[in-house]
Amino acid sequence: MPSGKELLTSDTTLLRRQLASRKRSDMLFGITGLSFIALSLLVLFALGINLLVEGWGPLWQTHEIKSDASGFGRRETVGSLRKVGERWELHLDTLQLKSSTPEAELEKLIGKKVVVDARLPRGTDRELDAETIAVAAPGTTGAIIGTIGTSMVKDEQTREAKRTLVIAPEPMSIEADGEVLAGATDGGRYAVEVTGKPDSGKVGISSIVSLVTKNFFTSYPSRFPQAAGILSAWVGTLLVMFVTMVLAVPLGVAAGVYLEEYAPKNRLTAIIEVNIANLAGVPSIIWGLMALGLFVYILDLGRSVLTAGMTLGLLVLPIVIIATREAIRSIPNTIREAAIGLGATKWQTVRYHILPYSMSGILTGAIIAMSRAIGETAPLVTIGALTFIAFLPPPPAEYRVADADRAAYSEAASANADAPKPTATLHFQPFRWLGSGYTVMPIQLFQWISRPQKAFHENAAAAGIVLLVMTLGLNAVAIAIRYRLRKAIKW
Amino acid sequence: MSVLPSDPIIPPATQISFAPERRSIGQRRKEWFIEAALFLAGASSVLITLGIVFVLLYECIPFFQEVSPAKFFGDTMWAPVFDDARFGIWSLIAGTLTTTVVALVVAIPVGTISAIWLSEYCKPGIREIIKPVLELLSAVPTVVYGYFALLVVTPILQWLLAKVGIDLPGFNMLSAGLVMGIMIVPYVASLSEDAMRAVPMQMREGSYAMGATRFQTAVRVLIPAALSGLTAAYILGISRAVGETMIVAIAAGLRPQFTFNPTDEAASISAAIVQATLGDLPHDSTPYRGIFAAGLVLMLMTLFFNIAGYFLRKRYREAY
Repeated sequence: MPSGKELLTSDTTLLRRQLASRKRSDMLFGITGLSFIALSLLVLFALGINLLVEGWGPLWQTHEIKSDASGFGRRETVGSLRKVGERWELHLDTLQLKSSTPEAELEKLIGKKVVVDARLPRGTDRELDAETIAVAAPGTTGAIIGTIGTSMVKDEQTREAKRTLVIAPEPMSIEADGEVLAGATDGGRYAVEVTGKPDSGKVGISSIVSLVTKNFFTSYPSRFPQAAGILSAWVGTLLVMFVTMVLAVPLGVAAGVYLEEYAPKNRLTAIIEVNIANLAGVPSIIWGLMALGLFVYILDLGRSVLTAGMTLGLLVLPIVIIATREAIRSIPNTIREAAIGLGATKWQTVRYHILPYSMSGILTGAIIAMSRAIGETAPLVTIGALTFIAFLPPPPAEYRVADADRAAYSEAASANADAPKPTATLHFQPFRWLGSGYTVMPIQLFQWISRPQKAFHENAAAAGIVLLVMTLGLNAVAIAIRYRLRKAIKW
Repeated sequence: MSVLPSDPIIPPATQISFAPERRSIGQRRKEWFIEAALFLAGASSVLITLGIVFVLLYECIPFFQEVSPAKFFGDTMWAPVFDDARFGIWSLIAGTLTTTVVALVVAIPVGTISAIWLSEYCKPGIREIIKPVLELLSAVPTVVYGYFALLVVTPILQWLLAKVGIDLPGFNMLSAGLVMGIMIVPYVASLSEDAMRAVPMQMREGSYAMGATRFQTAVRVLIPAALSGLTAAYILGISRAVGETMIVAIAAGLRPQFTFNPTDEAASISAAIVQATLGDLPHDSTPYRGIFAAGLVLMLMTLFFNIAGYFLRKRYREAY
């Protein structure tokens, strides 16, 4: 066995080669590591770019009205609305168009939105949402060329209803909650506004407006991709997050303080610690099952904002607890000893020293927890949040007609059409929104991904951008706080 | 003044005597109430766990009276709403395992090598930047990943696999698993890095003093020394992958199938639960209870991995 010096003098080429090979493997590994990290980041980048490319358009699609594009006169009678069984049918007598071929003109209406500004028949209510309206081609008695879906916004006071109808190329099937499963309206750039009174049996077309009349952030989900927006989704997300925060942050911080500052080192504490570590690893779908069994059915809280907020609050509780404990643990014991030395009680020490000093750490944990909760989908799907929500939860205070007054009015009005309208009064209802139905951003996203049409996928991408900005923004804030904290505090 | 009966003679090391008997009764009572409230908050996690276990068992016990465990664990077909309802959990377990394995094939090499690079090769300044950015990968909502898997990764895979003559369906476990793997990379990487940083500096220095390169040090010294920590990282990664729902539900389809072929469409346990709750599942029916039974299986799987991971992590923390 030659010594190192002998090797160096006898066979430097071998040594050089060995050294070079060592260095090469070292380099190669370094490059592999770097490229793996680059690959992961590339995926994040590709995801972001794809969302931007697909979703940028729908995100900024806005209002564009072209009224009277075809020169319709106002309230020209074109047909009648008749009730056939449980459904309303729009019978077009003639289209009053300049063309001499009405069928061809009706053909043009296919895939367009028709807004019927109609007074609701007495005694009807929101249940009308799911009605369908069939269209008969003019001249052909009763031949249905398409089915129209409707969505209705009813004015509580005047009982005037505005219905949105779309003539689809094929008959669309409509579910009980008003969701249309089939029927594409791609290219439906324009909508025809039809006005009329079902009671009088006359319907008129008043104007043509663009179908794309709404902003993505301020319109409700719709079965028409161009008109669909995320208003109910982002409002729902904010409300659910509020409930989540109110539940998880105080509870989590209190639990963290107990475990770090108060808990004796005994078996129960050890069990609680293992338990929290395990809770943090429980799959989110299990939280959904727990909430479905416990909150929805056993406690009978329904599928409400409250249920969703509680579910997510419990889900992120371990994150808050763990973050609080880590923040408190980093405070040196000298602080506690100093406080006690000055005669502070344990709570005074916690209240005036431990909590303020660990505040940024706790805040970071709370923000991370919120960002986790915002993106959580599975538990909310499990508790049945996947419904078509085209309304906002009731505000804490609103002007509306009291239910009793409205019932009295509808009774009086059925006897006498000129009965005085009830007046709206201010109602305070600070907790009513907790029991309201809701939808949240990730649920809306999931709904849109599940649709076959490409236009909905673009909406999904647009919602994805908003969701990603929310979560990554929260994370960026958390990272910034952590970074400043690390710089600022030197014990 | 503790709510819990603790030993008064030998206080725990972290506890400092407060001489409570010197304080006024009002003060002492206030302290007691605060401590009691904080204890309740601390104990709430136990209550939550009991709540989960209670709900799962509450629905599972009647379920197993209607469907025998032999049928549940001895069948490979999951079709709860058919007239001839079948509750074979194995088809769901197959979907869960297949997507998990695909995810781990991505996450373990990428995560471990990234962790070694971050802890051994990277300059601390750059690490401070890369680590948080890498962690953003796990902050992306899973539903967005599902979108990415279904509408971006699947078409790319279809194009690639068509060249080798494999026809990939629009829903497949491959793309779901791959994207899930990317999602858990930061998870595996950060836990692995923790484990490797916990290896004492002397071992590294010893290795370097013997003339080893960074690569040799990493592979021959750090990995064996940090093995329990690395295993914990992998196990916790597995637990994440097993429980992941939305990516699989969106990209792998919702049709339960007993298959281990990643290019097939199949449902995992969690995806089957989502699928069942998508429709209007009647409360108090056997299919409704079936999803709780499936959930119990999922819970036990992740619980096993989580406990194993917890104790492995504790072990490496104590080792050095």
